[in-house]
Amino acid sequence: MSLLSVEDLTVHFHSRNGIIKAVKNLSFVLDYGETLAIVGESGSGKSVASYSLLDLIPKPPGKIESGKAIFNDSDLLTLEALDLQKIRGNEIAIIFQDPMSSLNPYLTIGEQLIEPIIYHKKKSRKEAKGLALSMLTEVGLNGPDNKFYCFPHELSGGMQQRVMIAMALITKPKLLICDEPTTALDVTTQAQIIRLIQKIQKKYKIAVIFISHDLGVVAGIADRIIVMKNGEAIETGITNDIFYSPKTQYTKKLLSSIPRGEKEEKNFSSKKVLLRVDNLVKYYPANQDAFNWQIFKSFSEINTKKRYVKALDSVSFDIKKGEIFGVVGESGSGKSSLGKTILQLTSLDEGQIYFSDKNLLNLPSSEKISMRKHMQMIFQDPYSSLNPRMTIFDILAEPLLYHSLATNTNIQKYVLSLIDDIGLPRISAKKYPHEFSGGQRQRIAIGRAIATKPEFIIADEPVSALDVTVQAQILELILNLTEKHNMTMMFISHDLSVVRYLADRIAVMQYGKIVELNKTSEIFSSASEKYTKELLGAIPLADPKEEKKRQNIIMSDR
Amino acid sequence: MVEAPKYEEKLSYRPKDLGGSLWSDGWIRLKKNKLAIASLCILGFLCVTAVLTPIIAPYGYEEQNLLLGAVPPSSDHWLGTDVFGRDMLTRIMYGSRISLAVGFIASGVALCIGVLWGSLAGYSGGRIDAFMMRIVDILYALPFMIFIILLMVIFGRNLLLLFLAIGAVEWLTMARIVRGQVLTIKQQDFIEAATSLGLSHWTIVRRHIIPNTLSPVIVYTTLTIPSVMLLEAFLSFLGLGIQPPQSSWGLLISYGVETMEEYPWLIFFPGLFLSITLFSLNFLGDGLRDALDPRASKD
Amino acid sequence: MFYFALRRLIQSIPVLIIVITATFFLVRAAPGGPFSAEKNVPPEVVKALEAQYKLDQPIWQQYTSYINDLIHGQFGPSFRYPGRTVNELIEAGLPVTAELALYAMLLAVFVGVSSGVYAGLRPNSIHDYLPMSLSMIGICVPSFLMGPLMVLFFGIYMEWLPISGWGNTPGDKILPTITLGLGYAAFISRLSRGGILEVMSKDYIRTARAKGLPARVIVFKHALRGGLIPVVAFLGPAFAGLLSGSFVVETIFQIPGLGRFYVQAAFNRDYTMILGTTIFFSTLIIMFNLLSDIVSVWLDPKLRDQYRHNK
Repeated sequence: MSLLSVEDLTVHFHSRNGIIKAVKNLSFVLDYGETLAIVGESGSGKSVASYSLLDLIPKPPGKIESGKAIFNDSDLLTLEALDLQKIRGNEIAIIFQDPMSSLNPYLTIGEQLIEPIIYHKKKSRKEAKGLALSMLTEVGLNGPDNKFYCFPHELSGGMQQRVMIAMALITKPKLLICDEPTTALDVTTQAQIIRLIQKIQKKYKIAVIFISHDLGVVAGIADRIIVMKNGEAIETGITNDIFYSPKTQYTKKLLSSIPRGEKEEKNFSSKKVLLRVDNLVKYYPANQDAFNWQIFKSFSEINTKKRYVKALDSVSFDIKKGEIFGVVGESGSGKSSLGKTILQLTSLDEGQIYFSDKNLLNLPSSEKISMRKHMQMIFQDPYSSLNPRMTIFDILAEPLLYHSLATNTNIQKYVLSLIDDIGLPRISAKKYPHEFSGGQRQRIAIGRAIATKPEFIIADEPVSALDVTVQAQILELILNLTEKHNMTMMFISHDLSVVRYLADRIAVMQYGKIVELNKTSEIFSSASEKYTKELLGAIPLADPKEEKKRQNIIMSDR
Repeated sequence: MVEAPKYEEKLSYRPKDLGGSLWSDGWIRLKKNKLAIASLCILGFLCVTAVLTPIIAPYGYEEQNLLLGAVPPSSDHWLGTDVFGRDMLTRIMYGSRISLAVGFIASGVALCIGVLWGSLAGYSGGRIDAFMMRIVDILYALPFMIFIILLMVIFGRNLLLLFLAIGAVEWLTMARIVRGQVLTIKQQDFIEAATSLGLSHWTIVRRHIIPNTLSPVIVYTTLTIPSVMLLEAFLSFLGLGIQPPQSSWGLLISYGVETMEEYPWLIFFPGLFLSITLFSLNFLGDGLRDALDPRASKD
Repeated sequence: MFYFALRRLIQSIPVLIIVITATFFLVRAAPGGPFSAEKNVPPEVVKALEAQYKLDQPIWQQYTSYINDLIHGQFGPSFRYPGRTVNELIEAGLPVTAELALYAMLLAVFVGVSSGVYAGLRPNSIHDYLPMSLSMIGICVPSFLMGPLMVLFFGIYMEWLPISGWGNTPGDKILPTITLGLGYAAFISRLSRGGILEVMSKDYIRTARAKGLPARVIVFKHALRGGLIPVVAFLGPAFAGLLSGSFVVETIFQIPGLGRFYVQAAFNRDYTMILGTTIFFSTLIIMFNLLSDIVSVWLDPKLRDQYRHNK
């Protein structure tokens, strides 16, 4: 007898411009205590499928066209609203991707925590509070009595997610649905949260549906996996089968898109230094930022008048010509500030920057502008890095015309060849950014960055916002273009596997400092610092057997 | 190694927008909103009539017919006459010139000041922004109505002064809206990209910021006009706005109130025209808001 | 939180001073004095009156002595109604206007919020279109049009309700209150609808649904708090609007309130009366705006923290 049996689930969205078939004839079975992973890229329907089980999809555009979902002898899809309400949050619980927006900012977390108990188990507030406090301890929050009266914005992302988990589990449900619970979190926090889910699952024998776009994340926790694409289940199977003997083309593609392996080692000792930074220091006033525990911890100097945070704490390094220099860190490490200060998009409080032996901070203003064409940046968010009111042609032409690298007569030729370089059809020139997908927009952003043939490019998390298969393409594009135009690159990312694939040397940052800086191969084989090892240990391995080994080691360490 | 095929379409839950710039997209969306288009037509008609009034009005503006007195609508006088025998249709047409002119011009004044102030504050950021917005906050707290009344009483009912006074009230909210929009845009990466290209501040504002602020500005201006017209009508009703011999709809309504019981059409028709104009402007504004902001769709 | 309120309070004082000073000098700048309207008053009498009212003193002296009186709570004698002080007139008119404004505000908030929330919970249905269309009427038909029309219909044709006075005949408070409050009810209705619509699409409402909470809990406990913030922020300007709206309503319905006195004083160049009522109204408006600001910040825990840590 299975816990949940879904047959032929079909969900459509009816909008003004047509029908979108979000889920097509999805069927699966879930046993008690089992962990099922649903993996897919955006638009695969993985979230919609789970939401529709609990009637959480917006109903005017959305409609469940057909299907059955048998849970406890009743069909969830045809239950009366009141009966379904009794099951939601009680026997089937769900946690979402972004804990900050999923918690009510106007109520204390304690208040939100006791609600399921009060309404489902009909207990008194006092009893509910007791249960809530023990649950908070169980999910690993210290000082539960204090936390009970906190508001969501006073906690870090990881803590908020723990609260969400506590809220979901407080009624001891039989099934927990996790919708990308770790995507918004740092790598190390991600590992902790996953471990927490596993621990609780074992203790209370809860079945888990784990939704993710990242195959690597689910390798260690899933018993079975469903791979979805465009609303359909492409492949279903037990974890080992999916990873070691995938049957469909798409699954194979997903697996191969995960960056693996290292770059071929190159010798840069003969090359000259292109960029040198010396003791960079940057302060941010602390009050302005959201109350982030990690940033808070990096208080090394507390100015008596105002509280400051050191985003960059005496950072120094060299980058040689032709190198790809990787910078890795979690949020609050200062890696983004590093990129922005080098490009002089934000001010620097102390330190020097030398580019081709010229001091960037002391340049005469005439040279400042011409220096710009040698250094460019690729940004993280493809949806905000292009001006929505400009055509692709204008976006790509702007740098060329501004720096007088092309005239009105030959600009068309240049722009079209640029479009070829980035792998888009020439007709794109007339279109506007909103007509393109995330990956395509990122190509355009890359095109804009290389238009002036800069010697140095900073890529700030250029693929973090993209789907896995698209990530692979964009990384490939970046590599090709860097080699073709002989560019030097600083590649910033939180994802060590991506950086491993591209970079010659890697700098690991934490709390504004460079914790370790070495050749890629050295970092991965023999990292010396504790933090580096922690980061390495937290990277999800897309290899179930390796994951199990790692978990056993961790378990035995306790 | 990873293959790199050409490129792939991405399926999302928002079906692909129709090709074209945001303006043409917006226009297509607006056309689907029947109410907004109807409002646009009505407004167009009223504006054209207002401009052509001296040519097409059935009677002279001052033409009195004391023997006639106030008569209800008839074939000679479609909207009746007032106590002096003046044709109401004519008076309403002339009144529309003033009311609409005040509406558009004062909104224009508010628009210019508000956009300049708001974008300067928003783009400068930091202390300049804080200072400029503090001024806005303080002015916002002032009881403007009272000041306007005082001004009108003291300096007489000067049309120019009226424009300026009304514009002085309305620019505050426009400044706030523009500043908010500029702040949002400033945080977008493409502004940083423009900075990293080395573009000057002025170029960035002109080419990257202003085009992206246009849509809320347009929407809000369309919604400012009715509140300006209301303000003018309010003042005229109290006897503090337009002076006779000129008239506006507000003034006509105030005359109508005096003789409301005996000659209800004297208040009904000016009121009707005022209300229809306000309705149309509001519906148009709402429609524009839905059409130009793709995220704001409600389904 | 307390210090934040205190700070805001102190910041309001310069505003008040500006208002008082500006009004003082503006009024004095007007051509013609309070007595020039009387054509048949001999010049010697005018001179005597001016001396009595201190109008012959240099203007700075007038200003300082006015401020001095003000601090002692004296608004000075009325120029128009000899023998009566502004204080008396304000005391007479204030309760009436205050009551009118209060009732209108209650009407506006109660009707506005309930209709707006009701509409917002059932978007794009008849329950949405109907209230929103009605509210559009409330916004587009101004009080000085609505009032007379209602007087015409309810008072004269149907003779259901009295059309003038306040507190004299039973039911005479109904029409004025509706006339004043309806426009604001309409606007608040739209604000509430917008606010609720926006809140309901937020993630934390989805979480509340996912927890299986009953619908009334989701609406009243989770949604309303965030959804009504624009309404709370609007209450400050709404109050200012209600006060100025009272000018018109009191005129139409012949209500002996402060608003009507103000308009008359403005026409009659009754300096002290104008000053007195302006200051009075302004103080009220500033206080109310302050209150609305403070409550807005208090309602949002994030802002509360921010202001607690800042200085």
